[in-house]
Amino acid sequence: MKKWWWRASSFILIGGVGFAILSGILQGKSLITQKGIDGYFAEEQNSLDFVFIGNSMTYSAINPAVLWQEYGITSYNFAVSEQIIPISYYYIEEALKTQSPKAIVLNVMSGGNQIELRDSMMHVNLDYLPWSVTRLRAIMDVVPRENWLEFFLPIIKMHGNWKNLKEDSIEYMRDQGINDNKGYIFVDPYLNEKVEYPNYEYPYDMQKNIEEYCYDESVEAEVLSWYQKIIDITQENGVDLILIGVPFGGSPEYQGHYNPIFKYAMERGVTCINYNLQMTGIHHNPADNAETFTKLLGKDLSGLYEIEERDKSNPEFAGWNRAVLTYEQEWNAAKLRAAVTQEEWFGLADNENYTFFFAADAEVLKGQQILNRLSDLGADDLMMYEGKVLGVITQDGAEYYHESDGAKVYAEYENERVRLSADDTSTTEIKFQNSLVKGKNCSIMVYDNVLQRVVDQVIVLNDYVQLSRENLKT
Amino acid sequence: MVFTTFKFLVFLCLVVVCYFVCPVRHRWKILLAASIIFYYTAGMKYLPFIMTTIIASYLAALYISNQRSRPNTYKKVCKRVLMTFFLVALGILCYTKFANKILGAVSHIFSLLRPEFSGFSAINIIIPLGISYYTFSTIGYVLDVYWKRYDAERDFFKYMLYVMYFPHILQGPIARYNKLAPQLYAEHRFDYKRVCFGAQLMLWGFFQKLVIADRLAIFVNTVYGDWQLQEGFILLIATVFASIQIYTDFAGYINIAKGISQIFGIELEDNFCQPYFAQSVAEFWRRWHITLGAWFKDYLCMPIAVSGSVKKWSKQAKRKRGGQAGKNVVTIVPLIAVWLATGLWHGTGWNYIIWGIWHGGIIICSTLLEKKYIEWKQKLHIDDKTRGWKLLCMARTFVLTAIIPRVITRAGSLMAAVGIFQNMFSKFNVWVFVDKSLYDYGLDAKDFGVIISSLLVLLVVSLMKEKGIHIRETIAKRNIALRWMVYYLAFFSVVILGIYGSGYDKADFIYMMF
Repeated sequence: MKKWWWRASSFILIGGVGFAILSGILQGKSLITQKGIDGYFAEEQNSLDFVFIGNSMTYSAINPAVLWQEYGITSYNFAVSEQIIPISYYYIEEALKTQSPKAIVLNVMSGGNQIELRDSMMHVNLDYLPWSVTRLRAIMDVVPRENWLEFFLPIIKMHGNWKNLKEDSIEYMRDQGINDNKGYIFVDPYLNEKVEYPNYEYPYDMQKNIEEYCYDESVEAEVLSWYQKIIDITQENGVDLILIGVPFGGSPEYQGHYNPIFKYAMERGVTCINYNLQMTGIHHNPADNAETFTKLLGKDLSGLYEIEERDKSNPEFAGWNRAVLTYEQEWNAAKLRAAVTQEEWFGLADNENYTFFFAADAEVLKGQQILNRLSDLGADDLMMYEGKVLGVITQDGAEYYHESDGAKVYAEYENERVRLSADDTSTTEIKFQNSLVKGKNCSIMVYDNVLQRVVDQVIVLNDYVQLSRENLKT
Repeated sequence: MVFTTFKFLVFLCLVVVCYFVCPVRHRWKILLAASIIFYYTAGMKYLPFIMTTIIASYLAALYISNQRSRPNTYKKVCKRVLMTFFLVALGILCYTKFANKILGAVSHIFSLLRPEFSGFSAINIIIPLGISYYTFSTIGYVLDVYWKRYDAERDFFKYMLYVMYFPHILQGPIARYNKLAPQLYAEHRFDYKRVCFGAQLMLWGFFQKLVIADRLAIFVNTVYGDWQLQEGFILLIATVFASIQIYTDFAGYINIAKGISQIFGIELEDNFCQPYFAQSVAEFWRRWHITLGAWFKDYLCMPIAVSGSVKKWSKQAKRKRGGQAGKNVVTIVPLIAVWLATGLWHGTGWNYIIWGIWHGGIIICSTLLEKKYIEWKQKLHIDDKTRGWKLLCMARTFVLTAIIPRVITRAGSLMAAVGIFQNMFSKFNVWVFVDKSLYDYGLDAKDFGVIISSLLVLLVVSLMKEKGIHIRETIAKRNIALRWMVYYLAFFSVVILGIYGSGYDKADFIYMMF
């Protein structure tokens, strides 16, 4: 072959590799979606009993860890924010490539009547799917023609991100890990002071409900055609389809919006369960409500299908056991963040999966109360220090970094703390070090080794009672 | 299908593949098919206009060429044919460009006479893409045939390719038939080096357009969008940016067009020669939009200069005021015509006419005062070969060609231009350079960083070209690692820093509207 041909091919090849790397760096980042999708494809082939499809209402309401713990069900929540029904179809198509579950469980409220989606969410839904004919068809079916190119080559839209690049942008290129909760996203029940659940009196008779609130005209023919496609694809793959209504707190009249879909599906032999008729919920159900709902769903699923007995201690199921542990740690972290007294907080902090970073003024350490508290966490011999003391407490013991040890030691402490904080995907915006100059106190940062993020930061005072977070906020 | 769209790049790739796969003697047919498709994708509605001009010019030239065997009647008959052709070609051009303007002026006069008159409603006119460019090309061709510079093309499709050749149809350069046509029909074989050079020139064009021009456009459009609220240096910076924007926009297009043509083995004429290095207004116009200037010189200036009327006026002036006055008439009259026409070519508003008069006026004055100017320089012992003097002349020319006239055209109207000048000199707000207020006009610090660095690149490239260095040849002589690094750097600069995609407002090429 001619010399120029080789030269041109090499040039294009190297350029192509560079282009792919750049696309990865500049691409918009939605770690929740990326980890959720990567987690699904990391599952062993044909290992799932059920796959859940839908939008954010779905991934915040169905907890596979609870299903595993309570019913021994293996499942994955393969839902993505603001998903619309045409995209759900392609997610099902993609899901069935690696799994052959007993049923696909689809939340009917996904996108409701919508068959169009704003551009940014379309990217969230489509950019993280692995490249395949399915992804190409999804783009061509749901994205307006003039925007196709930006979905085939997302860099066309995302190249402007160069302005927002940070040091860790390249870090995103490496494997971000998977969602240890099997696709479920924990919604902190204590985040809002009080969760208001609507108190509608729903009729319990499904048929009656459908008859009462069934506005056929409210559902577009195109939406129904996508449901038909979903029914067809599940049938072709020998997989059952179950349509559910995740409790979300819509008014009774709102039922009229999706009852026609249930009616349509039931006429075609699809199992439909509207959980809005059984319990109340809100848009993104907090963990407590999600657990209640998941148990309800698990009861129905184990009633409908025979779930095989599984030995939970078998390493084969380590992933599900880890999901249970992750869920427990999420709960503990939520409670920790909600704690208002020292007694409550230190009780919850007594967790083998926590690493503590503390910063204290030696003056404060002269008070017995704080010394006792730190000692409970595993830090002893603090009396000998003067000035500022920094410490890390792990299961293996405590290590201290004192000002007099020099800047280098302090920098090591800082590096470790920053490294862990950088991995943090929580939205806590607290500057730990600032607390040191704010007064005579002791600041503690808690890093959860299972969740791999900082879960709380507090200031404790020498009175056995007060616990503060306010002073840490910048 | 604008050059900066992905659709065009795919189209171009297909054309290039078809061109080189096709047997050599049929390759021009591929270019013709591609040109028709290219023009058709802009809109079916434009085709009748261009086809009318093509057919009219083809028939006129053919008829004129056939008349050469009858020298006795040649001039008389051919002039009639020529006039008919002008009527058709310039009729379409004037109708599409001026009809609504004239209608508006007539309405205004009527409403002054009769206040109850509500005015004529505007006509919905389609302005065919590239009409000014192809009309001028066809006029030049017919005139050259009439002046017996070359024979008329007998193959209609070959002639059609000359007019419609897709790289130059929208924005030029305005090609001469005798220079372009032989290249179009010649049998070009695949040459790897030439194809690479073509692609590199295209890349440079994309850099000029997407990285520089379209980024500057954000600032310029924001400032000029509400110029009433702007003052001092903000307006001055926006005007300087507007001048650089229009240059990089147009030169970017030309480089892309030239690059595409080079891939096919066709050399289009240069349209720019570092215009902002010019030391006088006349020199600026020899460096800026060269093919348009040359066209006006050959087909308007020269015919007027040698016309009977000008000769007569020249003789009268010579008789009354001496020999120099006679010469001046021959110089000035054609220049007035050329600059009025140049103004009207760019736009139909009064501001464009003033713009033409401004440039024409300066050139005429500098011609008339040239002797005095040389004397004055000698008296003051000014050595015009020194770098300092040259820089001063460049700065002066920049103000005269890029600041004042740019405000006149960019403002949109004459009144707005006056307002902008007032605001520009109303405040000496030099602090805008340090108080970050420059970032309030759509560009942030990072964008300014890109602008400054890309303008430095542009300056270095321009200086090298000015010194006669062939940049692509120079790079090609370097080792492969360095060479490829330069190419990748250029490519990824355009990909990352370019203003394109739905994240930005799309900006069409400015000269496409002419």
